Amino acid sequence: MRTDNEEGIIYLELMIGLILVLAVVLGVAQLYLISWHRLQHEVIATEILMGPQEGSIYFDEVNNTFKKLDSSERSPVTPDSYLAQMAKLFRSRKPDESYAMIIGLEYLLIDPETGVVVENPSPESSVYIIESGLEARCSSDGPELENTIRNFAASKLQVAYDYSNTNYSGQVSSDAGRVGSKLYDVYIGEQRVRKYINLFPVVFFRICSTVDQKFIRSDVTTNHFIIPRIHLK
Amino acid sequence: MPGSQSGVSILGLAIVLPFVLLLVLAGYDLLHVYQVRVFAQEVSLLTAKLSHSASPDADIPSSAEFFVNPTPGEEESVTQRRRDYWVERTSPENEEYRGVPYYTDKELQVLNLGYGYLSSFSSKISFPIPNRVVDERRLYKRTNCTIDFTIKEILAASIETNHNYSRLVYVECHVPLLVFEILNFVEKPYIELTQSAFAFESGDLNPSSSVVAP
Repeated sequence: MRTDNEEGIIYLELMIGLILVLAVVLGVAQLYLISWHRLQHEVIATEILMGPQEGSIYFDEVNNTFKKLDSSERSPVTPDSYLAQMAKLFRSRKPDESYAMIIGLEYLLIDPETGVVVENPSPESSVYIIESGLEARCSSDGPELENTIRNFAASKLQVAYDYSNTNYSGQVSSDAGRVGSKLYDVYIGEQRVRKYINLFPVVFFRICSTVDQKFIRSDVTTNHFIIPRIHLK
Repeated sequence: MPGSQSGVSILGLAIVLPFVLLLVLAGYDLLHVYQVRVFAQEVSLLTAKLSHSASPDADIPSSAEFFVNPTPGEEESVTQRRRDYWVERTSPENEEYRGVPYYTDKELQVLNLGYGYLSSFSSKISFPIPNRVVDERRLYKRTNCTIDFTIKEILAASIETNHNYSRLVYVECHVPLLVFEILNFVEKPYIELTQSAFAFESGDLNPSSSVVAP
């Protein structure tokens, strides 16, 4: 015959066991929901990469140079409209209203003769915050997220700058360190001549969303950067 | 230990074990659904990527009816209903008709690679999901999936073969359930899930050539 104390211990063990099982179930559910949101972020990023890819630089016929598009320039595509197209795609593909995106367009300055990054880059372009709805909780910290995307862009641009300048050897036969988009690569007699576009655009964006289920609430944020396909070698 | 206590312990075990078994099987159901959901998303994304190619590196099937993988031992009528999925989309008299040039050589190559990727995940996935199957319980012992795409702007009467269309590739799967069906938690013996990926301006529907986005 069990005593009252023994019965009490059994109930206590049962309760501890149930709480542990519940904690494990909730933990697994949270991991699942967060990993699912991360996968959705990657899907959206890939769709954007496959999406609107209009050129973001143009050829200035007067000065014979390539220039960064500006809203004041006469051109079919400006950086604003380029990013707006991406925003439109994001809005049409977001799985729910908790999704938001912060997006910025940056440029590496390229030596047209060598293809090497010539200036230590510092992000300076406008950053666009694209909210998909009032429930996009993670977009409420706008300035903080804006700084985060600038820091992310700065770190990636710095990597490109370091890679380019560390690996460029100056040898005509070597492509190492030449990261610019090539305009032409020809031999004139014995001499090899290359020409590169003097701007290299990179799009940085940050997608955030909120997992919001009973007992589980968590913000999921991922950083991405893409090079417009037109500039890939 | 007195005999009565031993009996109570065995009885307790007999009561608890079925619940433990149900929990394990429920976990299996949920993991299976998660696994198929993730994979459906991967397949749709890969197929959308392939849609951007002007000439995917794959054999060109003679028609869309090539994409049929029946469940071993299933009735011929069910297999025919799988074929009907494609027949309905390529027959002008059917309301599901998509237009003559809809499944061009390029689209067939893309679907060939997409279904190949699906089969590489598991050869036990049957496709496509058959139309109007009467005995669903017999059919859904295995996962059934369909890969297809839609073009929103398109109508059968107004296809512009040289227009650069955007495609929405989707993968629809019916995943069989064990415990949730036994416990009668679900109306059907399977769970339906659909994942999609968007291929922005991924080429025309010209049967002889395909224009891809710049």
